[in-house]
Amino acid sequence: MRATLLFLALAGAQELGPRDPADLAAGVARILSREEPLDASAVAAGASELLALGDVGAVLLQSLGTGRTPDALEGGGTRLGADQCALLRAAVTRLGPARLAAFVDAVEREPSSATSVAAALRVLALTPDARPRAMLVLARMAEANGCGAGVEDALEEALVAAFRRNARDCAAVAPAWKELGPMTASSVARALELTRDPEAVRCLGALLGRRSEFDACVLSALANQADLVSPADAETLANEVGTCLRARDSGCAQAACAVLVRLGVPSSVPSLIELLENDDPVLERAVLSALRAISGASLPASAGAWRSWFAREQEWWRERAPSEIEALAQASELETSLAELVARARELSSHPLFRDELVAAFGPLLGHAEPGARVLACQALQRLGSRLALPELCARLVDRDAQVVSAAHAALVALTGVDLPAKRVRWQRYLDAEAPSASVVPALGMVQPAR
Amino acid sequence: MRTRWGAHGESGSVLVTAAIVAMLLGTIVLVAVTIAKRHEQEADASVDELNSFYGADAGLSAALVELRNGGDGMLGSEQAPVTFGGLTYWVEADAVDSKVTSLVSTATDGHRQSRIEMLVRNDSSEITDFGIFGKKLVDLKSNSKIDSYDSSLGTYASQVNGAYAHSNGNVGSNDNIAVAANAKVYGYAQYGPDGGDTISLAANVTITDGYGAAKTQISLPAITVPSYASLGALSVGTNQTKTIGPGNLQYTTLATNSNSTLNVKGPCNLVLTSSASIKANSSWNFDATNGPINVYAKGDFELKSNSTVTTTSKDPTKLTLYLSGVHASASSSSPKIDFSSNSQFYGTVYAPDLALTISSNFELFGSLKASWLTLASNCKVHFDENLALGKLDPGKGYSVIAWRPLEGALAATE
Repeated sequence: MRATLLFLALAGAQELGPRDPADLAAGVARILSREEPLDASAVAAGASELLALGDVGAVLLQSLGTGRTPDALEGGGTRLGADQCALLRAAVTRLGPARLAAFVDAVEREPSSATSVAAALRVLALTPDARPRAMLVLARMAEANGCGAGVEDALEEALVAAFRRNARDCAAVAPAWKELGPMTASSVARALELTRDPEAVRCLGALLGRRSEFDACVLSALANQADLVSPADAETLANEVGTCLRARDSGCAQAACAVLVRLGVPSSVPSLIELLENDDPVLERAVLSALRAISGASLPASAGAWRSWFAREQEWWRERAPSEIEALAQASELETSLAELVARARELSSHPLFRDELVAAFGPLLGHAEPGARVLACQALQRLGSRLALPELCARLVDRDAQVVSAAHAALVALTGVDLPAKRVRWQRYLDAEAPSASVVPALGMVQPAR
Repeated sequence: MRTRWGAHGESGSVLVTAAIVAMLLGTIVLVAVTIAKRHEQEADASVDELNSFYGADAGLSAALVELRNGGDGMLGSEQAPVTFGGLTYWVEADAVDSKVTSLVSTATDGHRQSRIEMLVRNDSSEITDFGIFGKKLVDLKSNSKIDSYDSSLGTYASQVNGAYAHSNGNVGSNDNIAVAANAKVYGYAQYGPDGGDTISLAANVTITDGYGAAKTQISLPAITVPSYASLGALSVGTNQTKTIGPGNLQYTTLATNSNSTLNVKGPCNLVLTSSASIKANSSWNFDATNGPINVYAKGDFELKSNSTVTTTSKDPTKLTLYLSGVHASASSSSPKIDFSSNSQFYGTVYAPDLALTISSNFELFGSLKASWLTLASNCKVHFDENLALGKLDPGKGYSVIAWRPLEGALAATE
């Protein structure tokens, strides 16, 4: 009840009317606790019903802050589900911009409670013209007041909403970065991660190294959206991240390993090898996992073994790969025998270190007139293990030859770990939802073999 | 003449004798040299054999490390063996069953070849290795903490050394893990095996044993809820105390009102088919002194804020909450699940298809398994290692169960 009274003050409640706060809270809790799924019209009707209870602004804002129904029922409120949250947001929006702005102003003047700050941040998330800077100031003040722990989720939601409205707002983070406490900074990094926009990735890259104590957090966010980094930018980013491998903080170095794994850039292998024989067993394990993931090779934790392997791979890439790729490119013109194609495909697919670069080499083979050659290309792409091959393999699901369809399907299942039926529509839907955006994945034939 | 003839004959016999003696000596020397040579060859062969045997054993050791580091245990091949000093070896790995792998190491010095087989069992990534596990999500909010202790060695307090007791507080998920600022995992964090599965780390996070992706998904067995004759609804009125158990009991609903107390005595299987609600200012006590208590809740399960759950026994193996309800998503609100109680709970919470949020008031000694699992800010979980069946070493726990030189394999390849 004390919390509700505090909210009444913060929310600038007008005259309470005939009902007391306990009755209002009980009424709101009853409506929010309904279990039926809510469509748009039901949400609108529910919001009207909530506002018809009386001056429920303070009660609604408190629930917005806690993410629970009001504390009216015996034993406290219950967690709001997605439908209830939608209903609550709709009702809060109907309180009107003036009322909401006044509430945010009041919280900004006295950000002493996590619930009120969280509510203010969620109000800002609903406000189309709210800027990230205001959100960061509010969260920073809350953290300084010792109530940062309760506002992390609300800050993430508000920032993600702002960044998605305008991706250029991601840049607003950089000037404030030096002033942020660990909780606010973590929420910022997470919001940039959840935004899933190349602009957010660039912003994260720019934050790297500015505050070493937050680098592990930034690297973790980068790792989780490395699929948004274009191949052209991957090497540059890998070089920047590589410098973090030498960080004093083992957690930062481990996070750098995670980014390098996701980027999969072969040039990052030497810096990982240098770190292999490390005194820190946890870091050594992370480095070895990273090397194995990037290389596709399963060597033991011996720097010497990895160095000689890498030298052999580089030599192969310089000396043999161009001629093999060229030969595959001319396969259809020169009427190369299937046996010869098998030998060439086998050689190329046994160098997964260059998996992304080699995907393009199999383009001509996938379009070969001979079904056996197309099957071979699907199998080789499966062995190679690059997700860049997914769009082309998906296209092969409508091949006129059943064996090609079967091979393409097997490769898709192996590369994604998802066992969908061999229907192009189903796979295309999955790729659109899960895989990197088409703008990032280069079309086959566009990747150059030479580095 | 006669005498001369006789002298000449004596000198001839001496010559013959000397020749015979010389031949005998030569034969003896030849035999001695041959024997010595043979001994030397046998010694050399024995050393070669021993070298190749040691080489094969070294190959097995390397393969075991390989397995523990997440590899497949195969090293080199007959065509491209691994070089080891003056020896070469290769190791083949074959799955005997889902847990046991046969490693066969073959080594040669160019002359002699040895083969040794070792059977290893993968004890890694059992569901019981994890203190907390969220099939689809583990979300550790700021300042939350997971460590471990062994209830068979005494209380948690007696095992705490500094900020934590033991560092087997492993956290696992088949999908994603999020670790908020200042959260501490005294153990290993293992996220899902798919390419899109992630771990998100905030600032000032501690994960003492590091983190990595799982090799395969871990299954959470479904709950089999027993069925008994229903005793109807169980309600404990204000200021009342009720005691139920021991035995097998089934109620449709359980509800406690303010200032009431419900005692459950073990051994007991308690089935709640519809809902359980422990309201504010009421208590639920579990007395497992005489036997374990299993609670099966099929619907709502609410331990409301300011309610209290207590356990007479401090042994987490004696109390298990099985919540068999199903949530469609992390934000589902039906069935209602609430762990806001102010309690020190000793036991296991097993809810493989539910979204659970554990409040900071609810300190758990035992283990926690759910579909979506959130530990609120400042929440503490102390995993009881006594609940684990594996090696508490997710992702790297392989143990050797058999070793033998392969019969008839010590053959010369020359």
